Amino acid sequence: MNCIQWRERLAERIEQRLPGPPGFAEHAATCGDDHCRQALADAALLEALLPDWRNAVPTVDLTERVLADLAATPPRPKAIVARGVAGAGQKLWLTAAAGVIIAAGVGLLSPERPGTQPTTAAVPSPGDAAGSAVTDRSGLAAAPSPHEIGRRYLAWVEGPGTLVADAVGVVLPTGASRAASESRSAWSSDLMQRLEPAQRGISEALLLLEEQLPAAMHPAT
Amino acid sequence: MADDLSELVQRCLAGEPDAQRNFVDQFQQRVFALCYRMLGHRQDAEDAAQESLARAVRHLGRWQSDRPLDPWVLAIAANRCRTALEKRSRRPVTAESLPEPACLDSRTGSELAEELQRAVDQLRPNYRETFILFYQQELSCEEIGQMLGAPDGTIKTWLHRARKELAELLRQRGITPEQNDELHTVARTTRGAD
Repeated sequence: MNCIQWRERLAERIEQRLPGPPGFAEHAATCGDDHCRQALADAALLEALLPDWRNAVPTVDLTERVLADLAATPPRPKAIVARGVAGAGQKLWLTAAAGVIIAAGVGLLSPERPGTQPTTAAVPSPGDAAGSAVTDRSGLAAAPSPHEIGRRYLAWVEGPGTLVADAVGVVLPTGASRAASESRSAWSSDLMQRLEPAQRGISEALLLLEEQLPAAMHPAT
Repeated sequence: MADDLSELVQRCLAGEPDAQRNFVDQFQQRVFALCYRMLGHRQDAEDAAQESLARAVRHLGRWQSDRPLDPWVLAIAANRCRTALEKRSRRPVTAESLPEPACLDSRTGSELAEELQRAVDQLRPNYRETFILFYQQELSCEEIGQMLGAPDGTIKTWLHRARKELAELLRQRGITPEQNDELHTVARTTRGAD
């Protein structure tokens, strides 16, 4: 029996909880292969620790607790009903999260804002002097086109939106088990914590946007 | 034995309180032990064991009587523990330092068991569960495979790797058969038995 065969037999012996045949362990002492010695040492180490590790006794009377639990808890509610409730909650939060993002985007992109600048910004022509200010009909400094503004807004909102979607997907439990029910009672606070970065991201994006808006487009004007 | 269990289950399903008590008595030790070793925390394990046993009694009607009852009950507990571990992983992590390795000669059996538990806690979930089910619950690789939905060969691989990683972690903590009298004794016994 070579070293590989010996180690395979050792593994089989462990898996089947069988003692080795007579003289089995001697191989590790005589073959000179460190792997064999190590394998035997590992086996001896774990066998030494396992008896104490296996012992685990509850300090409370679980039987009484379980029977009280069974007596106190009525038969579990119909899974379909419970799933329906969970689904409604899930939809509500998804709708709310999506609503916040869409409202922010639409509000920012709306052309019907007080003090809006002329909708047609002057486009620099090849004839303009290099470095000269581009002005529109009212003489105001030209701002990026609405399309460009919209593109930037959407980029800013996209990050927080993804965060929201991920948070909702991760937090919401499924199923109607008791564990899931308990989990649902805690998930809303967990969700709020997870939404915090998104909320912060939206606020920061709005502040940044307002700073960069031309004066005529600023909401305060 | 199997007939006795089937009868016990039938009586539980009929709502007999005595049967439910017998059922819980019969499984509470093993279920608690599994939860304790999976969660590594006594109180959490007691709560998980209580919920698992209550759940098992409530859902006994789903057990297929042509299959062994023990793995079915233990699977419920293992699922409950996985859920608890998942919840725990989402909590903020607090700095928890390992105790300094004590002098080897002064370690008692329970201290060594705790060292092993700390090492078990560091295993990846599949390895940990396989190790616990094999060594503590004494299930066969085939039964563990049925519980975890993995082929027999995969379970053997996980068990082998779990043992290897555990031995390495224990060695890093200064626990080796050669250096510890108690371990040395067992190692000699093992060799003598061969």
